[in-house]
Amino acid sequence: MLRRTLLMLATSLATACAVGQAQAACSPDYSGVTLTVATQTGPYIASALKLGADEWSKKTCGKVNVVEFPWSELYPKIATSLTSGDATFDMVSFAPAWLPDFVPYLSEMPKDMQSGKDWDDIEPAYRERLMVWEGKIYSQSMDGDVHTYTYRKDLFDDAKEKEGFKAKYGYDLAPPKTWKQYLDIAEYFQRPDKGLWGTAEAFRRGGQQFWFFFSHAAAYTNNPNYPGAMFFDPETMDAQINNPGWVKGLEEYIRASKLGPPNALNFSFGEVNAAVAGGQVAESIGWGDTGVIAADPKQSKISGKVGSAMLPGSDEIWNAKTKKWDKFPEVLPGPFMAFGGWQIAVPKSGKNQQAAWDYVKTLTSPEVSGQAAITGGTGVNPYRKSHTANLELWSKIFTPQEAKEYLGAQADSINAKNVALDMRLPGYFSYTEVVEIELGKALAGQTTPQAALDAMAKEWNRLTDEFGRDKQLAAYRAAMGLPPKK
Amino acid sequence: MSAKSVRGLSPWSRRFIALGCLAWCLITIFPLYWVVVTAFKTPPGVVGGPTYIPFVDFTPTLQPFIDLYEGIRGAFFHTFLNSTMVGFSAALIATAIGAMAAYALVRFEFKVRLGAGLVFFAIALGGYLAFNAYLGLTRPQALLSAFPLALLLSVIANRLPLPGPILGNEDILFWFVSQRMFPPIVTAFALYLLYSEIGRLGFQLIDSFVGLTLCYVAFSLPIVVWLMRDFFEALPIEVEEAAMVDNVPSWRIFLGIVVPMSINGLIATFMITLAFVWNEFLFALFLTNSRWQTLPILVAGQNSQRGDEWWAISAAALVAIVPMMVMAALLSRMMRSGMLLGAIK
Repeated sequence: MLRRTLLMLATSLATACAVGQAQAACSPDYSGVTLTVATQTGPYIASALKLGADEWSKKTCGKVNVVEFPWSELYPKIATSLTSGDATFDMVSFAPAWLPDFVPYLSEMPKDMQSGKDWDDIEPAYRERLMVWEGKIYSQSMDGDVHTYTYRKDLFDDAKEKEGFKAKYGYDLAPPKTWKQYLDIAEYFQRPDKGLWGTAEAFRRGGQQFWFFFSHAAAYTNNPNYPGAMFFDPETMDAQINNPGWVKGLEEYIRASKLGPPNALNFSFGEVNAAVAGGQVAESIGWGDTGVIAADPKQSKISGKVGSAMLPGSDEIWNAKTKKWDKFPEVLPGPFMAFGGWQIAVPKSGKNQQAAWDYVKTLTSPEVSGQAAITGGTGVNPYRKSHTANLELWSKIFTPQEAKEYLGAQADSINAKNVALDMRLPGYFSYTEVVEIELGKALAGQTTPQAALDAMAKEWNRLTDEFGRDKQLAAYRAAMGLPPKK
Repeated sequence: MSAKSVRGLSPWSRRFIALGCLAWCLITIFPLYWVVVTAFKTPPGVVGGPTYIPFVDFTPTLQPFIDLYEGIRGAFFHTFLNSTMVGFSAALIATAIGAMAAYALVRFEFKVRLGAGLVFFAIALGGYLAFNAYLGLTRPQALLSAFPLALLLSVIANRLPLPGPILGNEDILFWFVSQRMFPPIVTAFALYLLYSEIGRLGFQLIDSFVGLTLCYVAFSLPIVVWLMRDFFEALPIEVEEAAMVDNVPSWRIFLGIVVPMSINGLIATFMITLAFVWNEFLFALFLTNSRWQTLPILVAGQNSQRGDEWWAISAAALVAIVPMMVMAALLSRMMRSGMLLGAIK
């Protein structure tokens, strides 16, 4: 009898221990919960979501199903599911520009996630501007996107090249401060007979081309004396895309297209990365992926020779209010938060909203997101202070000098006083579509830069009226971080 | 051009024709060759200018395939399996039902009064609106009540001496084929809404095997009916007449005589239908989410927000093409004779 009692006691204790261990392993316990997140086809972003899913599963015992759709179909897919009210997705990952269209269907971020160490670690450009919509937070940045400058250090450090460049242009060969210097460098290294070209940018319609054009124009149109007036006048919502600042930006963008490899007009960002990694070009602009891919010996011929810097700027910026050029005492760098970085949000219709936000918290935690940022192919670029502060973390992919320049360029760009935000507006695609059409004509020489930009401005104004000028103005001001117009 | 007429040409003319055929062959094979070589290149290898000969022009790599295999570029095995299951099921069901419909259209005479058709349309639409607005039925309930009622009443109406023209077999065939005349996008969103409504009744059609297969069967039927009708018309009627004299039922005539005689045509039609379903993108995109996503969605997904990654697109496309090539090779002999017999000769 005693033996039987002892046996029962031992069994009970063992069971209790096992349950206790399981509970400790699942904190908070989401056993049996399966979340579904919609994103674009991997590896970019989808692999980061999977990385986060693994960590969340270990922590909470829940599961995350990452559903991938072609990039071109992601917007309609998410929009259809949100507007139909189906609880198809527990979370959606999307471009910041789509936020105005999605906001009515998204739940607000829990207040406890909007404070604390992890919250403060997010760079203010994201935390205080990009993630905010009309004073509320509906989405969390899970990727940082700002255009930076990449160059080949082996060419720039070469004494013979330095000498030759100075003799030709009268100043030292170094990462450019202005777009004129950028074009000079591209022109200097344009050596088709040696398989080397000046620069690589995206010029193809449907290939992220307009973001590269915006980066050129940001230096001349994002005026700190009249904030938020890069794309539209924030008082009237009149299109600014045909002002002299934009004309200058377009002229230089077209010039850059002639200083690239022979098929440069067909380049999307994918080809830009490959051209840089293949050592075909001396310099380039683009998202942070370029530096990471170029540093990877498996993908690159210039590994160990990758230099990074902020985008060039200008000491003259067009003022949309006074309709004059404002002269500044020194060159203002013109970083542009092209695209703005992927966002993740939880639809109101979701059945597991609490668990979904908990997953978002894990996914974007400094530890998990830091790992994603240094993992090639995740498409995640730095958006937290801790991402750029930890040089050791980046030593896995960069040499110390490469890491210093890369992280410096990223942090300086995001924190620059005059960093330009990408536009976020209802009907974003309609606005950018006309830009793409007219850019194609201007790049092909079928029309002048001014005529192309005039056509864009005319269409933008028409679209604004069609969508409702007041509604668009309110959205534009919200997107630019300006208070509502009284 | 027959073999005899080719023989009748001068040697120079024959060489000229052979040269033309060779040039055309190269033009048609080149895109496939490009896909094959690109699938074995690294990203710098693709962008670094055109190269065509492996080991000479460039060092081949299996990386794009490894990425696919490892699921880095989407759930490859999952989508492949889905495509196979949905493709074969839909093609099989569509061929079976379509063949029966085509046989009926060839061997039996149908008379449908236009008035009865209008009765169906009026009751289906009006009934749906009335049930929804006045009887307080939900949209799916109204839909599922109005359509069977409309069908029943129109069948009865067809027996009444209604005025107006009487439609025959050719008109019915045209109606079938006309389903393929409008762009699929016209129906894609409507179908999504219909499936959503039915889903609210508790019968999940979106992102389900049944929903996707049903949709493909519906959209494959017109082409199956059209193709099979010509195959059946080419069959000698005397054999069937002999069986009818012996009082063999129509079902047995169809299954025991007609189907074996038109097996080549059925296989050709099955293959064409399978190819349509295998490559279909739009409906798969609208009607699936996570569980039943198909291969074309994965292939299209290789064109990412970061640009066209041709190495990945080529590898995925190659993997999508190969099963169809194998199927076509296996069934090619039957398909050839089937096609010569049928409409697309």
